[in-house]
Amino acid sequence: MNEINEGASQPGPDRVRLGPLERKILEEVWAHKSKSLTVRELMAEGKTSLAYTTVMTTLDRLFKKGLLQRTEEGRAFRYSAQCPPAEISRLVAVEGMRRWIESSSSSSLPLSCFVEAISAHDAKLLDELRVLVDQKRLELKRRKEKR
Amino acid sequence: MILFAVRSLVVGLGFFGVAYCLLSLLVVCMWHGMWLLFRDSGIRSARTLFGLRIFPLIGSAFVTVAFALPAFYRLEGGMDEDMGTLMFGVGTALLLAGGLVRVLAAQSRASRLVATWLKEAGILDAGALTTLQVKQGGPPLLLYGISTPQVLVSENAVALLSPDELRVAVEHEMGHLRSRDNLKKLILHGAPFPGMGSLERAWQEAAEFAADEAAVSNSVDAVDLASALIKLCHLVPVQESPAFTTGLVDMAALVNARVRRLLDWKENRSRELQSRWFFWLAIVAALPYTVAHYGQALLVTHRLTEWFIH
Repeated sequence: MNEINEGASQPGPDRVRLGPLERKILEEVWAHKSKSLTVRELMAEGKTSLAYTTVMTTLDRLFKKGLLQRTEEGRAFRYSAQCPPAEISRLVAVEGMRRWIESSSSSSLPLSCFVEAISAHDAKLLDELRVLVDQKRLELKRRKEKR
Repeated sequence: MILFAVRSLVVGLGFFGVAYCLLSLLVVCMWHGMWLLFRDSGIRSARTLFGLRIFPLIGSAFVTVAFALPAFYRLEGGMDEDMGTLMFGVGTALLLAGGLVRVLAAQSRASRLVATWLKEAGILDAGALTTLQVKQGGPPLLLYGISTPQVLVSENAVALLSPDELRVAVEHEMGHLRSRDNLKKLILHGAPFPGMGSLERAWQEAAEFAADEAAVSNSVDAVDLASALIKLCHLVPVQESPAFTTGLVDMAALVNARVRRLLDWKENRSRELQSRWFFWLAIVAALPYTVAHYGQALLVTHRLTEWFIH
């Protein structure tokens, strides 16, 4: 068996952007923990109804992103997870935040210290609280205007 | 005379150590019992929780000074202390010295860290307290110092908060200052005891609520503070907050409850009942009884001390 490192010279990814299909396939690979899988074995699980070539292309893309490692076995490849799920979630959050910061028009705001990765749950909670605060502000403003 | 003084010091320290351990054990059991019974009711009085946590230290010091040492001076006859008493006394002295070293080391680390933040700091006009704007690396908003307290605000926090949000956030730190929370943290750091962690956390949570309460005087302030809390939650400090400091969002898990409580702020809400008078009433009521039976109390204490020794 030959270890193949093409396109994945680093031990893990620095930045991650995942599409829904990539995420789905990655979750299935994670479900097997340290066990490696071929495309055929993954499809034999019956959890995915995708075409063979779609799964193969997606796995290849995940390998090139440094999220999977693979070894050659005959004419096929065996894929296994490169990083634990928590690490990928963190990198996805960091990437999302980085893109948001870069797209921000108020570049004078010193954002370099912004959260490296607040979890999706925390972000959602803070958003909910933000809405409540805005509603309360509006309510107080209306009350003041009535007087 | 010198030998008698050394003996009394050893016995006093030994007595203090035993009393501290027993009272701490009592408080740990009481707290865990209370926690099981009342955890959902939300005990929110910071003063009561701190009083409970500090009771073993104050109680054992009081019993030693008011009873154990006078009993020793008045009733002690010959030299009947053994190696065990000496070990107990020396052990307690070592524990006290250990606590002191722990405090000094943490204070020294905190001073060094804050000094690096203050290198390029500038004064900010944000209220009565000295407020300094610090560059990268510092926490978003922090109250540092016991004798000469200062509020440190990171430039990111200044950029994110509106002037009103910043003012009320500094008021929150003023609330901690009035309650001497940094000094309380220092005392607790020097008097650790296994099993007290959850009580200390509960006190810190209650202290945050109390400081919120102290910072806010109307609904607009309450909304501003809630908004400041949410905004600062997005900032993650590069380094952890040093010891004996209080930060606005130190307890991130509490933000949800704090924001909801602030949004529920009512103009005419009654402040926490001042229960200090009740404490002093109990002391005044107990004083005549103690004075009347002081001799008997000394005798009982002396017997207890003898029992410890033997």
